[in-house]
Amino acid sequence: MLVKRVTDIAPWREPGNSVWQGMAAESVAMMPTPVALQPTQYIRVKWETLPYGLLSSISTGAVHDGETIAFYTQWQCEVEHLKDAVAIALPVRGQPILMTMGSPDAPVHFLHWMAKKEGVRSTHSQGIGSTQLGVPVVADGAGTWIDGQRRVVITRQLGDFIEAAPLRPGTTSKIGYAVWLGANDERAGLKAFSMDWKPLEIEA
Amino acid sequence: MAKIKRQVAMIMDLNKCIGCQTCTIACKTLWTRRKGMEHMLWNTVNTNPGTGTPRNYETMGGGFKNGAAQPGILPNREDWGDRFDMNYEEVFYGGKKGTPLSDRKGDPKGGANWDEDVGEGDYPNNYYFYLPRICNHCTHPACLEACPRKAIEKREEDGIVLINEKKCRGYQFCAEACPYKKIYFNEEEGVSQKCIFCLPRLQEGVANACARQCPGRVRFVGYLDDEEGPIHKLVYKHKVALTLHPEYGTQPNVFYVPPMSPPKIDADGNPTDESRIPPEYLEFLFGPEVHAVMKRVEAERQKKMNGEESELMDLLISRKWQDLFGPFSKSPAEVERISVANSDQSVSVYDPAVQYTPDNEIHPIKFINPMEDR
Repeated sequence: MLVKRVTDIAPWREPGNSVWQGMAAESVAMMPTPVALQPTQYIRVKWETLPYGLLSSISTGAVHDGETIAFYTQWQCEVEHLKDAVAIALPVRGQPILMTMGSPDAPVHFLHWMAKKEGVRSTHSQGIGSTQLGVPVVADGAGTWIDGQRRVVITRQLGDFIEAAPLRPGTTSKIGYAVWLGANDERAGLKAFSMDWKPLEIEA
Repeated sequence: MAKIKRQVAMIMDLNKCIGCQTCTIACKTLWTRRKGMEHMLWNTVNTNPGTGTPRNYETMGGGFKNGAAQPGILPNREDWGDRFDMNYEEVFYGGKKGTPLSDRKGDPKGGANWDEDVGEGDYPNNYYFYLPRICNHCTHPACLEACPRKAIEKREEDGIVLINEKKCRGYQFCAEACPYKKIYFNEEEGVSQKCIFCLPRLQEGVANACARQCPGRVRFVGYLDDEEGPIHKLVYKHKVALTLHPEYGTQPNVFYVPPMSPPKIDADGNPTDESRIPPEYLEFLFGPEVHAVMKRVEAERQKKMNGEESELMDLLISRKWQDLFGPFSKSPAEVERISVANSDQSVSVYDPAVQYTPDNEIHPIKFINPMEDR
């Protein structure tokens, strides 16, 4: 995904702003996290036969103004729910595997937006079931729900941070996505996720 | 899960519970006064037979079958019964004579122990008894095993099961998996919360608030392995204390002495040989062992009636109140109200404003240095 440079980031912070609709959105295929990878026997047993993570794709986009990067996601969401959520995953270092949410040598940094909370939560993972609160980063999030569509913008300050992904203009990083449909009681590892990293090319 | 060195336990003698809810209030005022905890009753007392709290919890699954986790249902706020929002200001300060006390949200449709004293059966053979419940601090806790965050710990020192609120993300798999449905959710803080077996009191040698304030002397507290204590004697020596729904597979550490029943009476008003509480109902609650337990208690009761000695009946009667609490017989006054003014030692005092976390072992105790306070 090409992250274009814009002169004024302000309108891009708004998920309902038409600037996002005018932009060629990139579709990202999604799939449910495998039930076998759920971290406890209880969750595996309960959800073995229940549908979850059925969202097949999301629309994505991103822009930056040299200081702040804005990530846009949009997905079909028939029922608005306070537990609707989306997270973007960014590699901190090394070559983390997205499906296993990184490892001690190659952690993953997440920015997590939830409909019931303002802003975004920064979390840090070194593997499934290891997610902890992440480093404080200058980040924010906003979401809307209109006519069965969830639209969310997550913003983050560009630059290098300890234990957060380095994002600088003129470089290429990677991004992954996870979406939880609150109406289907999706939470924790019960989600749809992008199977692998997508390239994130930040325009100079 | 670490190997447990000792296990604290509680026994509730259902023959003595009068359903006064003093235990419920003792717990409520001590532990669940923070915002988001309004609907929480870590201790409940329900009329049985009945729907229980949360409503119909016995049909909500969870626990283990042949060692395998079983799916459970998450109770909703209606199942729990929310706090009533009463019009106190209007009644007491509104200045209008005859204003009835009522719920500002309209007529409540349910609540904890909503079917109080309904019971079952037809007069004159109708029946009910009270069943107090807290978290069972199970040996095989379904909540702990279900949590993907490893936020629930069973303490090595005493087997108390605690939720680490710093780790909890409010997913509520624990509340689904608990077959006894004794885990609440704090919407304000986004975390699950439950009975902590009054850990800070136990650490000071003081018995649980629900046990100590019980006017019926219903509750025994102590270590399972303390052979001189009442818990060990009632569970292992006399074998009269059973767990609730042992088939749930979690091995609770809260036990019950099942309720004896008056006999059914016939059409002429004469007692029969039949028990008014159906034995099959007690078996539903406490498992098949309950029949032998009832016979043992009945036999010991008869011995006492015959003027013979009975250690079991003496234990259950509990003439000496402090004997109920094993090593936790210290008065809370000794802990909470040590004479700060006459001491130059730092003392710990009860402070409900101190937020509990398992990392913070002093909750809700805060330390006061009297020298600084003067």
